[in-house]
Amino acid sequence: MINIVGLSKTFNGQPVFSGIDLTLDTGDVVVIIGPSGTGKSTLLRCLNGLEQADSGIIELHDQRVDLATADAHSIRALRQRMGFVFQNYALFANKTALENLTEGLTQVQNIPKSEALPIAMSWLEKVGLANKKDAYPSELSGGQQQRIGIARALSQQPDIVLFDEPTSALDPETVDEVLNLMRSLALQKTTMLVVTHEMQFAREVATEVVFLSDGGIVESGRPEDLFKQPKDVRTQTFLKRVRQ
Amino acid sequence: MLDWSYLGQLTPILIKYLPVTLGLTLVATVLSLALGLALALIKVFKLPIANQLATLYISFFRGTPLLVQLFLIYYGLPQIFPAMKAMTAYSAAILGLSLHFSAYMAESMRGAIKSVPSHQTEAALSIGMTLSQAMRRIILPQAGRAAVPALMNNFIDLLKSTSLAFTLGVTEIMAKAQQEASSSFNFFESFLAVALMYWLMVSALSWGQHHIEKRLNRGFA
Repeated sequence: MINIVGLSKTFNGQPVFSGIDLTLDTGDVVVIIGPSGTGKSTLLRCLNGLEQADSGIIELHDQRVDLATADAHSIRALRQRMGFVFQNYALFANKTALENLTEGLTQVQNIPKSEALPIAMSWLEKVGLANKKDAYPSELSGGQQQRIGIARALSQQPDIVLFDEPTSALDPETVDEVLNLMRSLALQKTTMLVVTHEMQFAREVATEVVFLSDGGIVESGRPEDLFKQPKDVRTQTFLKRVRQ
Repeated sequence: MLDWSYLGQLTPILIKYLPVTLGLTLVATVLSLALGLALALIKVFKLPIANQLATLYISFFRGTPLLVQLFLIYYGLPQIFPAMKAMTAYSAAILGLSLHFSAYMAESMRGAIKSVPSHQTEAALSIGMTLSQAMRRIILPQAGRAAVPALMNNFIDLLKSTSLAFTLGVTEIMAKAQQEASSSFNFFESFLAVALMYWLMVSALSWGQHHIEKRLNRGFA
């Protein structure tokens, strides 16, 4: 189980969000939706330590980290158990597809290269890109880069994967190849916390949908409830706007 | 009229002093690269105090002529620090060239490091790398590629600037050309010969630059 308690963040004294509580069981897919600029991406970045939270605790099974005060060592240990998929893929530009995956295995987890290579290859096969193992990111399409970004995150065998708007930078025709991969990961019980504007994906795949707005969680619930009968007027307005 | 036979006689004499020029270039390049990288990292990470000192250092060595710096080091410093009287002209030239060009290379490398998108560092950190691992394995290799054109210009400048070592009494190709010109009065031939030698060396460096860039650009759009 993954518990996030009392997560708060301000930028230059302005609160972005405060008092965020979330719980994910193994295999849960929690999708965060909400208007732009409400701190959805910042929330994920705080969980991964890319931004320092003002307050908040994360409990990842046996590990408990205070996100406001954790030292570099604790944050690194946390990151090793938490994959991160970036909006702009962020593949290492100087490494091939295969090296993007082996980098974390050999340099962070200290797995010998001879053992890391088959692990990385098996993940490339799972995302259908084994034939691109020697390609550099610039030689791949956006969809292919994002699938490798997802494989990179998963190859580290994390307890949870954070997806920060994984399809926002993609061409419309390549969005589905990434969403289909995420659907299959959900079926395989991969624990995911996803920020996205893909409502159809949220409706189909999420175990819980969280609506974030005005600095906090406005409401959350099962997708069939939240999408059909949103309780708060802000959720209703938002869903009405995105449906148009 | 151009004395071709004199040019022919002079060239092998100058070539004998080529190792001095190349030695100055090579040692000063290595030292200025190392010092320049340290300065660039200090500035990129804005290390307290060190950052201000690095800014002052770069401002001084870019803001004053190399010739003045060489004179300050070779003739000036031993007056303040008598132990430096033992310093040879060759060592003073290497020191002066290294300090001077480290300031330029620091700026070339700082610009290159800053040109690597920040998401590259974030991606490295997100998989659990330390900042030093991220720099070493992801950022600096990409910055190195971006820095090559500017650094090659710095190397070329450095190579040509070794000609100023003759003002300290180091006999390199420029000094030898000057000596030969004075004794033979064939000024044009002597300085033309040394100019051609620099041109040849710079052309070789430019050729090398092209190949290095081609190799480093593999995989980059």
